[in-house]
Amino acid sequence: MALIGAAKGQAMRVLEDPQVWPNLSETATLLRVNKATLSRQATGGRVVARTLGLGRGQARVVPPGEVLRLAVVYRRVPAAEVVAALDRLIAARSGQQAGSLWPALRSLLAEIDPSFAPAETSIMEARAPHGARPAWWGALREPLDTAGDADTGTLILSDRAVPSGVLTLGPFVDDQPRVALGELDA
Amino acid sequence: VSGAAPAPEPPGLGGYISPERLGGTAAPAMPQRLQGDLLGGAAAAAVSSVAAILLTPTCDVALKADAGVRHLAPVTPLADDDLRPATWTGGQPPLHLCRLARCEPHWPGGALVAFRGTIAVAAATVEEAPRLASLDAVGLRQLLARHTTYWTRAAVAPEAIPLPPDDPRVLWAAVDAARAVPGLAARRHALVAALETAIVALARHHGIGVPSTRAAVLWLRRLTAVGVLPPATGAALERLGAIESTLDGLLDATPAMLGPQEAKFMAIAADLDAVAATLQARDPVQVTPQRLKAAGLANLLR
Repeated sequence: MALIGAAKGQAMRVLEDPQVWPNLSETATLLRVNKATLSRQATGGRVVARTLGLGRGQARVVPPGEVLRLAVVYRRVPAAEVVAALDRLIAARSGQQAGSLWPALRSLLAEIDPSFAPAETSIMEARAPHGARPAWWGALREPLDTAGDADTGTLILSDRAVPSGVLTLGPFVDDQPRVALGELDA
Repeated sequence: VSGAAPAPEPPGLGGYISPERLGGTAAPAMPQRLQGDLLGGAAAAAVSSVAAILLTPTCDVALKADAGVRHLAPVTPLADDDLRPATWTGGQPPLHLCRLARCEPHWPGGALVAFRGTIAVAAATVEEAPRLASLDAVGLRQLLARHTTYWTRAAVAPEAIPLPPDDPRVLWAAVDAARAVPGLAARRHALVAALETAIVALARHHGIGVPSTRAAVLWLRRLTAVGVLPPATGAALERLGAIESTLDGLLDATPAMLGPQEAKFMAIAADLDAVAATLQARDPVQVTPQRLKAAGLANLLR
């Protein structure tokens, strides 16, 4: 439990560093909203942003918690997708492994909106004197044709620990692909 | 002094993974070399020492991992009556040295890695050299922290250094931690944690990072079923399924009924050890969009 707590604490420290926060353009892209809208709201104080640098090198960056809050407000992109994108972006800037910031970002999201509380509690947290099992329990044995929920979510592909692509899997397997594979490769 | 007890070892040095564990029955025929491997033979001769330690990939060397050279540092044994430790400030060796724990029978008094003696050696020499042992997760973090400090002069906390989730030593450490839990009732939960570590490691071994353990399991099974992943991964998944099934029974049992079932705990730990051994495969199949497309799974992409 101490190890899990330490890892989460380290991730939180990474998330507190403004140098790794997304700027307004990146935030707008992540949330699929107009950058001008975000900029206007940041100027008006309705979006939390911090200014880094001086003169022409100046940039406004948005804390990860604020990005997640905006994701919940706008709902143009699934919150889980924003978490995954933030994880990749910040991990690449901070030299962390992709995926290492997931738990911390999910905790932030759950604080903003309790309906996003992680479905899976950590095994150590789930430990109970009654032989409690973690949420993923049984996945190794259940028939594959009944396990439909694996078709949703974000699959992060990496080559030698370097993220090489992200596949967002939808719930409708008969849908035509909405993103060409060539675009994913790029 | 003859017959005197050896001096106590400084804490935090870590330990070793034995050659038996590295080359277990489930290990691939040609296991990949791991960072922190201690090599003898031609590799040791190349650095003119009793052993060489593999540093690649570390720092900028990581960029050259495919360049046909590997970086080795000499390892020199430290005798119990060696006077050098007494001259070190605060008991810590100077920056260009890293202290290793005792390793029977190679260096019963501990050893020193000399970063200044690091040389580039042809990859083929490293591949053919016999592996004496390998640093465990704690020892490897210690080595990486010292090496980083040597190059950058930055203070680095070893426990903050992340290891790749599919490094078998991470899983071995989880299995050892489970074995060390004294009570059987608590040990079954530690084994559940080790099982989750194994699932995540297997997924990352094939280049998959997924948001949940459940998704990792289901995707590994699906990709194995359609032939994207090799049969060896399918066998590892079957082994993990059997572990889950055994643990299921143990989780249902009351603590008083666990005593007669201790053999099952040992079998589970051994099976997880075997899964860790399979993680040493060279160039494991990586899931790519092209592979998914070739397997007819392109319609799952949005």
